[in-house]
Amino acid sequence: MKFFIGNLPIYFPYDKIYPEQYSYMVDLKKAIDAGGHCLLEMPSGTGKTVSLLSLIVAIQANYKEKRKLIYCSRTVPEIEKALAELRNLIEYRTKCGEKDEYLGIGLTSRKNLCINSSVNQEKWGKVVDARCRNLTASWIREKSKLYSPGEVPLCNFYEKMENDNERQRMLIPDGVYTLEELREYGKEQGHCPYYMARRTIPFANAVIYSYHYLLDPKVAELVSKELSKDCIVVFDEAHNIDNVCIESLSIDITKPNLDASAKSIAKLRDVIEDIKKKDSQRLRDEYDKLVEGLMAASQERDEDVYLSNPILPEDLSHEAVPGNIRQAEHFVAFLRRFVEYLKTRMRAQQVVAESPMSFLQNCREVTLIERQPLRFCSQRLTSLVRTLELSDLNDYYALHKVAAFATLVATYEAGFMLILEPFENDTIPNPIFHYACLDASIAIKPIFRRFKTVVITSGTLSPLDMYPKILNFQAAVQESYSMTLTRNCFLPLVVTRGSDQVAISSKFEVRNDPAVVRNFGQILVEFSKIVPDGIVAFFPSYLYMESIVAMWNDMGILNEAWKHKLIFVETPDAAETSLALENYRKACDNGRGAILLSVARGKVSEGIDFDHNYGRAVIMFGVPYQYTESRILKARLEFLRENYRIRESDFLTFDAMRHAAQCVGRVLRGKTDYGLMIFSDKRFARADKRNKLPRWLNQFITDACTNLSTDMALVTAKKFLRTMAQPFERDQLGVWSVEDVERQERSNVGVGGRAAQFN
Amino acid sequence: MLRYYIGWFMIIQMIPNFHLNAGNPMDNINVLKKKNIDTDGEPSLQNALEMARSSLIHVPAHGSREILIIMGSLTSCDPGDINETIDNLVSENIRVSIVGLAAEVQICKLMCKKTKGTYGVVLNEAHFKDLLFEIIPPPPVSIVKSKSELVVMGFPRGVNESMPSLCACHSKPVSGGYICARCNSKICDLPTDCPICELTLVSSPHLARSYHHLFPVANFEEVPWSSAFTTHCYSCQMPFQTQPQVVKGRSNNVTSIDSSGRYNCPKCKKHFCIECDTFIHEVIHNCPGCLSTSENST
Repeated sequence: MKFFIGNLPIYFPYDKIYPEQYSYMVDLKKAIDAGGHCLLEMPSGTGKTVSLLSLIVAIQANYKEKRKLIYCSRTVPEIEKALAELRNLIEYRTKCGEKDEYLGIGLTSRKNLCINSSVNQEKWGKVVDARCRNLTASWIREKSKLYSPGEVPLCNFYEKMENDNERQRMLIPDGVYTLEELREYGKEQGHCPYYMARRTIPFANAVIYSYHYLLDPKVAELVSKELSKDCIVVFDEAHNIDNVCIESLSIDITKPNLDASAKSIAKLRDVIEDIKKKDSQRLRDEYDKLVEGLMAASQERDEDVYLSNPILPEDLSHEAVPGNIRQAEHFVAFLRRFVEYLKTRMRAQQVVAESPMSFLQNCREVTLIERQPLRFCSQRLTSLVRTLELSDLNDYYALHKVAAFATLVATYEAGFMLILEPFENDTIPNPIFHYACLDASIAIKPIFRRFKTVVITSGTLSPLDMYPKILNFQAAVQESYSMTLTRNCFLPLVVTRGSDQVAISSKFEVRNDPAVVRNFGQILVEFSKIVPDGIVAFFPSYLYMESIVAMWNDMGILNEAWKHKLIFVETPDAAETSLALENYRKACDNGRGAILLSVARGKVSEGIDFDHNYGRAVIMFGVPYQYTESRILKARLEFLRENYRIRESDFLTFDAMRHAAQCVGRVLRGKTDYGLMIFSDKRFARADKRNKLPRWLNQFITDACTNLSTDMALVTAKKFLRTMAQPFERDQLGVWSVEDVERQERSNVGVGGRAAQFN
Repeated sequence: MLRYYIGWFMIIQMIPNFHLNAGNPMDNINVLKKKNIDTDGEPSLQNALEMARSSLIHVPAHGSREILIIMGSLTSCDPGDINETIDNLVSENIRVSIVGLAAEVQICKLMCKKTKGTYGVVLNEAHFKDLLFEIIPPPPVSIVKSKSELVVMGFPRGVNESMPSLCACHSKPVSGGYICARCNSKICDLPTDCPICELTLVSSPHLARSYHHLFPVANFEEVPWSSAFTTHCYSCQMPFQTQPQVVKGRSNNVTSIDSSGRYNCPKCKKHFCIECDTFIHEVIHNCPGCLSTSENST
């Protein structure tokens, strides 16, 4: 269908549109026209992506300045989905007679894109990166020219692409390519899909990739450097964006890391000795370059840059590298000293929390290492690696981590904290040095400053005023949309007590009370009796899940549940979890039925969909608060209170409720789907918790389904499941056709239009 | 053509505890009454289906093979892969219909869809009855599989003897019964296979009754005024309404009578009134127009 918002003609690839999709587009257009950032909450599965894309593509096609779309999503399947949606839209536009020259491209890691059969067999992303580099680095390609062909292995795909590129040929014709199609096209042309995608980013109209390519300074520098100011940046599924920001600037150093770096340092020294004998000129060249300033030295091709700087580009110092680390052997000695220093610090027996400032001071007193050279650690290491033409960079991973640590510590002061935890769980000695970023706004600040329009959108962003606070930006438009449903396809139930009227809660004081545990178990068993196929249960933490499952086992509750459904458990191990998931899906498919016990902050709660029979009910056991004894969290809370005036309890509740909403949202992936959402904790009944849930969820929480006991909830749930099993008539209630949209559009402009007439 | 085998399988709580595939409804009801006792253990959909399949496998291709499951359980503990069983059912043209008593189970939905059966979940007892009774009329024969095939059938003679004699089916002395047209053995009830010579035995009302289910009369279409040229209903000969005169300035009334009250049989193109239409479809299951034209043509 085609309709207008203001003067903008919009092609929407479906015949009908939901009212919330329309208002989403109107608000988005408002924000883009105003040149401001916006925060939009709309449940997933209701066509958020397609509304977003149709509007932005319309803007790209009709506005004078050609704005690029940068669409960031969280996981590879989501990127794939967005690309497919975009292609669908462009095809629709072409069918309608619009002649856009549109190039849409997705980018993901080498591991997912590589088509070189000798490399893509590797399991680990890092190994693939390193192997790729061994075949494509500039000195290796130089070297191959000196030898006869075949003696130095090169990547044929890359070589062919380079040749074609030199002949000024367009690498890729217009169109939208999903990742799979990109690989196919690469195979057809004999080009490397990964580098092809990276080279085309400057020319593409739409780029779809992961958050990290924009937020994480280590990769953003390589990939997203050349993006112009008027790009429209979209963060989809952005409810966790503050954590991504924080993680991109935080580093953890462990004892094994330090040991590995010590080994790498020794290796580096050997290589330097070796080169000194054979080719001392090379080292001298590097030294000269460093004297001139590092920026000149870094005019290299991006393929050579394996490890880039961990700090934000604008914090990068433009001075020359300090004298005491210019000589390669001096630098290696410097690194060794720093690693030794960290090792001694790790011998501490009690927890240490200090500011970066005091760390640096202590460091200077003990080792005479100044701040300035520390800041250049990472750059200097990169330069050295390039000079020495090292391959197998996987071995230097730990060392690079230490160098990044050094650079970060010496660069940032405010908003960061150094925490040394010598013991795991207060008993097992496993010292970890956390360099924790506490301020999510640091990493995202350059994005807000650089781009005119940043769109943050997700299914769960409530309460909306929290994100502008913690990310420190001003939103031109912030809006949450309700959901138009042809039938009430989900039923939230707040269970506050068991059948025996004992209040249930995962509060610390009562969480191991047998009565509470039994009532939790009762909920699981009773619901496993009445809910068909899959049930997903979420616990606040792994620890709590383990203890409660052990207690259930003793009480015989698990045996009871087994009669009705198989039980699978999520573990921190990714391989184990994916195996459990696979079998869980199988059990849901063949009618056996299954329960998946998982953790609210685990892998399952994010990015894995339990649509249709894979999740007919989701049970939240307790409120998923963070582990409040964590020192990093404590530091962050204190920081938020002091700097952004956010109370600890407010932030904790906000964080818990967004995870709860995220978890229960897993069962509902579209309007034909249906599912039960069971919140079992008495605290969920409180208004301050409930009003932090997204609007589309809150609109269905009625008084009749709050504050229930288990048996009352069961009766309601049974009725709901029967009703939902009835054949679904697709009456188009609440769906708009073109005429409805036009009517709405007229009433929108009505006021303004009339005013214009009188003038 | 006769739908004389219905495999009825029930799973209430456990293993398939009874199956009845006698053509005679009384037998089925007796079995149900007798066997509906306590059940225990774990339910298995696959076991039930396999058992049903094995007993339906002998049904000749011209009969419809159906399984009806009334399922109270939401889970199924299967010994093997149920999807294989479903594929087998599909390839053998067995239709599975399920009435669920609690909630929608994905595998049931999938199975019914694949085997072209129906799946319903009951809301209450009345709805349960509706769902169950909806399944009773046999499905129409699909054109593809109905290759004309001749079936040997016997139409046995009904007898009423003064002295009871032993029947061939139960070896019990009965006075009434039927005599097989081929081997003259005595059978209690119809329809059945003769236990002696295996001849299919039916009575003509059985055939007639099943016929209209297999070849239902197509729905009649409403006739617009533009082609409403007939004056009388073809079957009851009652006069139709005539098209009201369009009076200028009173167009409001005209729009109120927008149906011509004529219904058109898509095959014979005869027009019928609404009463006859309902009567034809719900009671006599034969279109008088088609019957009379086919007589004329032959």
